Amino acid sequence: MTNNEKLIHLFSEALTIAPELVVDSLQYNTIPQWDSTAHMVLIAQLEAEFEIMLDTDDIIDMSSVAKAREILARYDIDF
Amino acid sequence: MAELMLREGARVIAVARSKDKLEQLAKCLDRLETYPLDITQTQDIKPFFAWLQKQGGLDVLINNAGMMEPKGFGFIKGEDLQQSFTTNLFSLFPLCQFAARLMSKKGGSIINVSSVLAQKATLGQAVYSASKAGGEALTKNLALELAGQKVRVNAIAPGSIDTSLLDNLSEQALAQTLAEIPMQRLGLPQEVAQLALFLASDESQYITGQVITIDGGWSL
Repeated sequence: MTNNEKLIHLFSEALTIAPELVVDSLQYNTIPQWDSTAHMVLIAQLEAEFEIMLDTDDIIDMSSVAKAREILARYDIDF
Repeated sequence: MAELMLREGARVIAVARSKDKLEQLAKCLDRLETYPLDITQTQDIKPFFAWLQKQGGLDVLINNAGMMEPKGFGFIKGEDLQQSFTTNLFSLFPLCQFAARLMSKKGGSIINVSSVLAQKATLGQAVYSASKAGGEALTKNLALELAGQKVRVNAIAPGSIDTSLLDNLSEQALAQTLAEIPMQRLGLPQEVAQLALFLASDESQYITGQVITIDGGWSL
């Protein structure tokens, strides 16, 4: 599985939405499934999968799928 | 607490500021692992949890650090507030944030060690009491937020326990406290450890957001 596929899978699992709905433009708090609780589940899963610990600023900044990819790249996760 | 948890078969990592004290403790307790960390230095907390992540995660976090410096209300300085609140309350935020993320996948138990003084007014303890009361409020709020992730958050509120924390109390204050305790003795550290073990274990898997007092009846 590529890192991008992992990312989509993790979003899909944490937000309990179909993988097809995980697109770059998907934004935090624009669907009921991506609320603050799901966001923390997502963060925990991203950290576990990619073996990183995110800074609080990055957790707050992770406001879309595209932004998540951008932030993870800063932690040496290649997409 | 470390001794009891080890005896129960847990892998225990003791965290403290002093490397020397940790080494002394590790000499007394077989299998105890240690990690020197000053929890008031926020920037040092993340590397500790990154290390824990590499160790395979975290099941239980016991926030046991605390400082108590009794002072009359009129003598409290800004730096007293800063020190006490940073140790007793502010540090709990990053510690619980990181721990909750590590526990998120399979659940876990966070235990904040509060004090009976969080709810009981005692002369000279305004700072300690207020900081511990904040920790109890945090415990309840976190319990609510993390229940869905099977992360339980509880607090233990010990009364007067026979530890070094009492060193700062005058003989007179200690005698007065003893006179107020219906069971007429100080609590033992192992009695608090037994409660922590219960809250850490699956025996308490339906308990969250609670502050459990252990004080020989002092708060009655």
